[in-house]
Amino acid sequence: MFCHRGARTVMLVVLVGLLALFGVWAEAAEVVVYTSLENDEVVEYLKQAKTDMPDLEVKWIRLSTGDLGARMLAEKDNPQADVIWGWAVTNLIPFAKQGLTEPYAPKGVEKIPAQFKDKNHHWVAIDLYMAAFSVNTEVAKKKNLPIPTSWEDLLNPVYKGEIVMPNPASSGTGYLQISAILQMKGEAAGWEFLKKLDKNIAQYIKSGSRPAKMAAAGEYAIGASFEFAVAKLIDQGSPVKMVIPKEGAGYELEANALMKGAKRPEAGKRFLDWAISENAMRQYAKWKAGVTLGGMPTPAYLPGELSKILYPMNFEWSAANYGRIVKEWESLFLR
Amino acid sequence: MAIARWEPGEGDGSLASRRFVDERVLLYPAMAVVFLLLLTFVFYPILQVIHRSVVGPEGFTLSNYVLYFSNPRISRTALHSLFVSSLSTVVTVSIAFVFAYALTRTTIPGKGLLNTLAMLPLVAPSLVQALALIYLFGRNGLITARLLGVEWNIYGWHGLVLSEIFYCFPHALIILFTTLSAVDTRLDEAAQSLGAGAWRTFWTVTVPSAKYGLLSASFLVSNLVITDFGNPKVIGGDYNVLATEIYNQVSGQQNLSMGSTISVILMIPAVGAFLLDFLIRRRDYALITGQARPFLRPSRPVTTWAFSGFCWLICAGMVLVYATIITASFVRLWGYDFTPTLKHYRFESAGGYGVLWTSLEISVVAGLAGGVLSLLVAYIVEKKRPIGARFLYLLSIIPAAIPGTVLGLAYIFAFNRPGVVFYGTIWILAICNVFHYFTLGVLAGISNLKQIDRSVEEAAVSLGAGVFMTLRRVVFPLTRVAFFSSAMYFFMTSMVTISAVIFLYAPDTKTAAIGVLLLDDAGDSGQAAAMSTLIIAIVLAALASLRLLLGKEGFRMIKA
Amino acid sequence: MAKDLLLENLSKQFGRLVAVNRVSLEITEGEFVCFLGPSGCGKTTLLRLIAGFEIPSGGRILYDGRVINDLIPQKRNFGIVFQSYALFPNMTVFDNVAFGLRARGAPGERIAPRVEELLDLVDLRQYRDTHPAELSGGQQQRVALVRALATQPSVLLLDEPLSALDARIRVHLRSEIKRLQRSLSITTIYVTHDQEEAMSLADRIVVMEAGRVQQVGSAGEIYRRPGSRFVADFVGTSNFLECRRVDGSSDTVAFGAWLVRVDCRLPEGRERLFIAIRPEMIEMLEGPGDLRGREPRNVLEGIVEAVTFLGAVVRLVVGVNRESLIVDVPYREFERLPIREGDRAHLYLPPDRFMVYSGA
Repeated sequence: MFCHRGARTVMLVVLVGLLALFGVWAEAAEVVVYTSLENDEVVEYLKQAKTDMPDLEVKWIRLSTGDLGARMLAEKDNPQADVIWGWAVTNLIPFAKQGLTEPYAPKGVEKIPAQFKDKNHHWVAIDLYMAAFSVNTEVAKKKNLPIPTSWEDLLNPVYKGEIVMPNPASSGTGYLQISAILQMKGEAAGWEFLKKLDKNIAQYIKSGSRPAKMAAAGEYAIGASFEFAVAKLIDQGSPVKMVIPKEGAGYELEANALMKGAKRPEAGKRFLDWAISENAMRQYAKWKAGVTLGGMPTPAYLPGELSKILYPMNFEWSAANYGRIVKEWESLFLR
Repeated sequence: MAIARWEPGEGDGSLASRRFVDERVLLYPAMAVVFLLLLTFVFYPILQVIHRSVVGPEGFTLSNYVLYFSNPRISRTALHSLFVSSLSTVVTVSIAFVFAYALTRTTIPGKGLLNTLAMLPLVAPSLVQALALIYLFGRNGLITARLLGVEWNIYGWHGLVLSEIFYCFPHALIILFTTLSAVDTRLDEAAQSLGAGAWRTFWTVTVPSAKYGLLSASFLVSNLVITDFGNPKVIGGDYNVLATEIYNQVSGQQNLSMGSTISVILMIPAVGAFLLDFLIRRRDYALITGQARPFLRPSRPVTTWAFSGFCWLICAGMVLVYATIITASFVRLWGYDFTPTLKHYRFESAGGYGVLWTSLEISVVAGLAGGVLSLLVAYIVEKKRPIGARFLYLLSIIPAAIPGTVLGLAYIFAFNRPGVVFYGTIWILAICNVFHYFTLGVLAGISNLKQIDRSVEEAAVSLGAGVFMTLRRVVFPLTRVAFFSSAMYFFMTSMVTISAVIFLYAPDTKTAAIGVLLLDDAGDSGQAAAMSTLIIAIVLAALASLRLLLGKEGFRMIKA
Repeated sequence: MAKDLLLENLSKQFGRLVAVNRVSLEITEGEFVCFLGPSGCGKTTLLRLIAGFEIPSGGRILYDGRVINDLIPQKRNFGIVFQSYALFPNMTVFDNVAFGLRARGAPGERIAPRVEELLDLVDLRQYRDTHPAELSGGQQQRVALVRALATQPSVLLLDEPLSALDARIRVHLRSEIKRLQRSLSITTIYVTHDQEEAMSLADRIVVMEAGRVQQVGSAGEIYRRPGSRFVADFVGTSNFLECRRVDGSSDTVAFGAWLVRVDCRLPEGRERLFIAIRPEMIEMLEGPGDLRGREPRNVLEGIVEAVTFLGAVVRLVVGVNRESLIVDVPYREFERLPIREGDRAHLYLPPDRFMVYSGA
């Protein structure tokens, strides 16, 4: 009576143990990827990766831009990642300068235009994403709010408590928005603007896409986010409208790099080769406003030519002043 | 009347020549193993946290603490935590007390159902309450925006307090229910026969006699709230509390020193409340006698209606919360498009069902390991009582004082180094869960084992059974129920826990509960609701199968 | 050589508490001995020492000439019956009784008939496949009894086995235990706080208090000649009358104003004395002159404070000299003497019925 039950328990334990150990010690080819790309995009892209590289197991962690940087910094003595994929160039530039990346020229890098890659091959950009507002039309109608067209419009006191915006310390989207504003207006006027805007902001959100989703859910009228998050929501039938600020949309390049001290450098390189391949680019093009490989289709939702919509960002400046700007922002606005 | 003499035959006979293993040969090594495990997985990591908070690049320093207190934004978090905790405690304990009173002192109908429904929050991660509240009472909530046309900003301390009340209610209820059941109702009757009205009796007799239970429940709830991570993350908005600040510092800013500092500060109220509760419980112990419940006089109709209404209202709230989550998981876009869909269940953002399997693996391992370990400790402490048993007991109680986030952080410090092979695997998550919830497992085990007659083992010994035969034939069968209820407890808590594991998960060891958090973080609330629903379903299924396995009698022991 | 059980200066200490204090005892084979005493007197500890569940702090236990201090319980082959029955709840009655036999490796076909025979002994054969929880207290205790007897133990130890049962079953089981013991001639030690039980069961009673043996003897000896004030008080009821010596007299004491003749040796030297007399030994006189050859000095006069009808006996409380004496009068006699509360009563205390104790 007892023995039967006891034997079963023992077997179960052994079984579970084996399963787990198998997970720990399985020697299949694998690569660990750290990325700031959105969860849902990553899942889609990796489907393509699986088709193109069926024997490579991709393990990934997704964190927002700032958080990812912090984690990699903390791990720098014992890096857990092999590859950085789709991380803000603003952050990748200083990272590479600190010597945390390994130079590598992926196959096909010659097809990528010069302004989208590091001359010493520390990083290669794959796409750009830009600032866009997600405006909930139903909420706007219910509360009689005019649809904003620019950053300046957001200062309208009628929007008080109706806007959510990303936190630039954690979110790449947040940082590009702040950086664009500061570059557009000049620093002094820029901070003044942000202080006025702060009065209308209900919450600062740690993720870049969440403001768009919160607006779509009707929690707030306006979410300052980036373009394809809004596009996807519209696709899904949310009552939102995409608004690209008239002053020009700040944007960010997302790039890849090989980690210095990666545990699986060969697998890492393989992944990086794939990450700028045509197949990969075609996938990116489905989501992003623009990809760095020429000849890819542009999305329908863009209101015009990219060169006309985008604000010409100075990435070197963004990168060089990252720490200072974030600190300043935190001391002024962090609640 | 005589009986035949028993002549020893072939193969049997006296035990005089047989070798018997001294039970101490098993007992002391087992104790040593447990000590070692507790030291390694509880004390060493906590010491590391404390160490980190006071050690800088030049050695011992209090600069982190200075930094903490001088930064108004960060030091405000302590006040926030205390405020939310106190408020939640007062409200939760009051509500739970009235509810418990209704269950133990009145004759309202449907007590079984009320009791079951009240326990609902136990089967889901803590933040499910917050999610549902946003769906219902958020700025675009079903009730606030749709039904009432009212705009109410639920993000902030008020939303947080509300969801904490839901979350902590069952914990408070269990304690208060036990207290009020154990306290003699005849005291109330005596008071009333002496002429005291019901109201006066309540305040002068009932409440004071339950005072230790009230204090105990208060400490428990305030600890739960102050260490809770999930709810503040989802519904706190910009209202930061200690638990989320630790996370911000560690995961966001990778400022591990500040994270440790805040952890130490968080431990102060947690350990304090725990100690006070511990001292109180020792005094209160005599009240728990386990007598049969006395006959209750039927309540007056007014009483019955009033209490029934109250209780059903609370339970309706519980049901509403869970119904909302389940419904939200099946509709396209809550608030705008209620067409039914299964698309959230594809978990596109989470990468499929992997996290659920991970959770199951971890929970099964934690369940079995936790069940075995806690039962072993309970057995040693309660039945064997060797030298050092008291010390073992005290050590086993300590994990209850440590907040989950702190433990998770502690494990990073202690085990994130090359050579520690289980870091980054499901094993560290399982281990963390086992020791995080260890105390209650041990206490429940002791309580269960107390019900087994002390003399039974001695009877076996006197009849000639050695250690192994006694264990096999007597001890194991009798502790079966205690084992399963303990294992179930560890399983359940592993499935729904967030605060400890939030720091420890690796890319391929995300648990489902963390998945819910991450999905909500990314704004994918439909999928978050779907994942929550599945977690709830799994836990309920496990409970149901356990009930089938043990039968009604054994099942009741889980509530202990 | 007879298989006697010998306790030599046996002691057991728990920290500072001395539970058993230098107890020496000899129990012959086949004897039925009761350890009798109030709670906390050490009788259960003494039993557990004999059983092997406690290790002696001092002294020796010998059985059949061998010192068994260090012998584990399994090897002693002493059967034990516990107060809480301690049946294995997860096993049937059959399996419970068979347990000891299985522990010895006896094959199944020998176990079954033996178990059935034992169950027959206590009339429980039809319950062989039931679980203990389904049995009444009395039935469970009977199962416990035969379980202990199954392996033909050399000594049977019973720790207050009947105290959890109600009065009628207790009396019934008591006689069954006695009957079994007689027929098996097994050395038996029975622990109890109930003197009626002890007196009806035991060949010899060991009265214990505070870890020490106060007196050992048969029921009659202990009752008639209690060796100490404790025994006189604990076993049966006694009236203790504080009195003073009378100078120059060896057989008279002063009890208040009365001079009372006492026919036993007065202890030397002490000033404070207590004379003890059992309630049933005091005689009720019809009047002060109703002597009929009795010692006139031993007639005391008092006022009846209470009359309680106890069935076979009527218990009177009579106040004499600011002390209350308990007097048990057989009902037959009471009928002849219509005594009521408040009446004056004349009591005769036979001089040869006294015990004398000194002390505080």
